[in-house]
Amino acid sequence: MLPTIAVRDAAARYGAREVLRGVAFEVAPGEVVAVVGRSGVGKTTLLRLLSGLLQPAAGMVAVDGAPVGVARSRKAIGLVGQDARLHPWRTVRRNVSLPFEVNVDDTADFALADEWLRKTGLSGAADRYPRELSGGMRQRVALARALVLRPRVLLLDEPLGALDELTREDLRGELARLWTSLEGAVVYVTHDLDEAVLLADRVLVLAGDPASIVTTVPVAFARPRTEKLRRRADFAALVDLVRSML
Amino acid sequence: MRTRLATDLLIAALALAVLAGLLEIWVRIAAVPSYLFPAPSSVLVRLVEDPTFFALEAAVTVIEATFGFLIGVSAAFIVGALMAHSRALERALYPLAVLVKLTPIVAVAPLFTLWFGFGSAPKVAIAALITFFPMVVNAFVGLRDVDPQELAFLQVLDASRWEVFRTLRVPSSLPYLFSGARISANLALIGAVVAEWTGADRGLGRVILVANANLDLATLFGAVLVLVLIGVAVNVAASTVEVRVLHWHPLGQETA
Repeated sequence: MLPTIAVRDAAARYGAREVLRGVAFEVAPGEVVAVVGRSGVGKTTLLRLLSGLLQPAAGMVAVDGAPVGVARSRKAIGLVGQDARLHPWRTVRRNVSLPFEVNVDDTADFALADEWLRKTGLSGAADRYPRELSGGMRQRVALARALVLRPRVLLLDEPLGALDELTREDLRGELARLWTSLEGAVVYVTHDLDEAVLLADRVLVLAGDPASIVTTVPVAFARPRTEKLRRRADFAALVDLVRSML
Repeated sequence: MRTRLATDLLIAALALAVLAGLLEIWVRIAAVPSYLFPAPSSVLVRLVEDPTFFALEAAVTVIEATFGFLIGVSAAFIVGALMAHSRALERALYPLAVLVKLTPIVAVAPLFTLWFGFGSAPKVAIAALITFFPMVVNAFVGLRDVDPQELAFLQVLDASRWEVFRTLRVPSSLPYLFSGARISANLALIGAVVAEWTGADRGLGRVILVANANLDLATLFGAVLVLVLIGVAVNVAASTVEVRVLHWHPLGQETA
């Protein structure tokens, strides 16, 4: 089966500094892959490669067998960052329908936007502005906005990093529920090892300088996974295993 | 918002009235000659006696300032947008913008009269020139200073530069544009008055110049008071628009 994401021997540079070298992995359709690594190792750079915002200095990145630029032109990549400020001058509904307004001359599909607002529990906030929302709600809007076009690839860059623990717990469940409805691949960058093991099918450990994927840890826990899983000894053992690889 | 604005204006008017009262007492007790400092009451009488005169002269200055403002801020927005999109253009255009800023308006105003004659054109040109720099800096910074996460989101969707400009850069630069426009609007008025000093047959600048030559300080202060009132009206109008347009931004809420 053709992988949704294929990264082959990719390298990334910022000027003379090589940040990533020899990065290689695949993500299958419907698969959730978490990327963990120490701060500054190059996790966000890897997401920039996967999103096509950064051209690889060597190697290649493909989505559905085509260069990542093709996926971008088809609006097949969704991106969610850490601290969703959104477009503060737009209402929640207009933020979620923003992807219809760029690239292809689509008509803003408010019905679809409303559907995703419903799925993310934001129906009541459709006409509110981002400043009127909590951090968790803004992050839900960012998620709905990234998913409204049903992307083939969903890239999340520490999307829960700026939230309190209780909101993180809520949103973790929400994320898992939402991306199971996608047929595409999910790459989830996080510094939280518990979160990585709880959410992913595989955990990729990024380490070294320049960094590469030093190991891949499969996560075999059955889905749906709940927060209770975190209290199990085999869960803790897997988290420790990932930690030992960093 | 309206209540707060009305209260602010009332407080300012009261403070001005108290100041005028104190000046009136001082002028009367010290018997200050009217050619040195007119009694506020004589300024008020002059304004009430001939309101049409002041209104017509003010209209000339306001029209010159308005056209100058519109031309200056439009040119500044275009230059700011070009600079925000290209480092090369930024390097080429920014020194020119600084040159415009450093040029003393009082020094070049007579040149403009020489080049464009004694009509409205040199006044409009000076007003445009003086409004240019604050707006170009604000437009440039505002259009460039966009949220990197929001920019990345649009770029991942392969949005064109025009789409990024339309959906992200322009709206997110509005607080900067309003700040620039507010400064520029006041400067446009100053520019028009200064330009009128160098050769004009109409306008509040000319009224001030002629009144000064005739030691008619009641008329001079009357013209200055009218200019102050126009400035206040411009700022009130700017605040009103700001609150409506920037309701999503702390600046809009602060003004409210």
